[in-house]
Amino acid sequence: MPNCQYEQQISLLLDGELSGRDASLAEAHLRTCADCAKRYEEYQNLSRLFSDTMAEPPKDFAKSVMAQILAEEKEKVVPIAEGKKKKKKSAFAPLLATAAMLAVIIGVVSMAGRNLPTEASLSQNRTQIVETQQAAPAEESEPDGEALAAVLSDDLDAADVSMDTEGFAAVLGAGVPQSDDETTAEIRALLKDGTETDAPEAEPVCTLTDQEKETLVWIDGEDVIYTEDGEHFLRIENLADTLKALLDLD
Amino acid sequence: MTREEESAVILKVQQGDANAFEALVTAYQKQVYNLALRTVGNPEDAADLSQEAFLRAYRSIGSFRGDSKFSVWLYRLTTNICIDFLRSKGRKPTVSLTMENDDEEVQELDVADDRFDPEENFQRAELQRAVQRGLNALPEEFRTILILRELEGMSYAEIGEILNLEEGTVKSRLFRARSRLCDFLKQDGNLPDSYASKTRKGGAK
Repeated sequence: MPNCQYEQQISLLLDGELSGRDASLAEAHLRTCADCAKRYEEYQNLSRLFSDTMAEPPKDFAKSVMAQILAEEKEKVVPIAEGKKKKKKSAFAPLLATAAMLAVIIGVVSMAGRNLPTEASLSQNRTQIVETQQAAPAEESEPDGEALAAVLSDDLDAADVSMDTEGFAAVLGAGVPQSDDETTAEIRALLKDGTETDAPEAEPVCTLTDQEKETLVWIDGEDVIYTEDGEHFLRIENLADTLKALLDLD
Repeated sequence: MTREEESAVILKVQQGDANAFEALVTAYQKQVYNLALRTVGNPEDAADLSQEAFLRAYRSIGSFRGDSKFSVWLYRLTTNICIDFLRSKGRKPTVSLTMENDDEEVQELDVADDRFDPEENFQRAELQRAVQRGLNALPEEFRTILILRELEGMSYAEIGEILNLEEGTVKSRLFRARSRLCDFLKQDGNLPDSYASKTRKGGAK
């Protein structure tokens, strides 16, 4: 094995990780040091060995992956009837958490809708979000069904759900670790803005445990919501109807 | 698939078009499978783990934000799954029985390739096993880095991103890994100069 202080430079040169000047120096060295020149060739051979011995994936690999994905996709859609049976606890805790979160948002959005968004009303809404977020960890509870019902029956129909999906995503982004950067930045800015304003205090509509908040993943803007309870994503179509049914508002 | 096309496909999947994901599986299956194969050493586990990698990629594609390349994100997932697999049972990567068994190798090994005649296929199978033995002899933190560089062509910065390492660490470990593997293969006569010139003529990538 050659033992030249340039050996690492040779390896870097091969990977294209040297700057122009360093690369020229290393190349110049290669012309004068037989050991390094040989080593360089060996490294090249090694690289070629990797690419030449690449294996083919199993036959129908892509098909089998897709079959599994599509099968999972089917399972994800939660039938409304099933949702009713299990209500409140266990498997649907994430869903209820989502509903609770939504109720807050729907309240906020519909208020904005009524007043038409002036700067003042917006910052008031922002403050309400902040208050709700801050109050949330203080109480341990499952979402209060009655409060939800009240909010939903009052505001669900009035709120144009499809109108402001981006707003939803933004508001949701506040409690969601996986939202995109821009949304997170946006909501942070909104929240900061809200706290600085001298707005009246707002009562939290409901509270979420920390765990419940973590289970919420995102709304993709198509009346579909995803939640996660450890491993599984639930995908609920016709969100508004599902929530109403789940909370017995029909 | 250009990067723009890829972004469009990803967006479609993120918006709920599950079928669109197939284009990504097709585009990356070979890379992901080989990454898994080189990391764990045998085709059966590699197939399972790469399948798992794609499933997880699909499930969490909503969190892919496009601030790194999709390939980097996907290889990171794959690498983590493979490393977890090896660590979970204190396993060591293997050279699989089918790879070891000299009698059956020609039909068992999936490196067989029409571009090469049977003798060359035999030689390539031998070399594949030799590379695997050499990789297995490396500590995990060396092995993964070398695989990401040699197999997936990742830059040092990207490897650092995938493995949560400083670029300086990538640099020194990669050099040591490459140097060790090179010596390992030379020792057994599995890094012949003639091999390199031969495949060059054959137009291999």
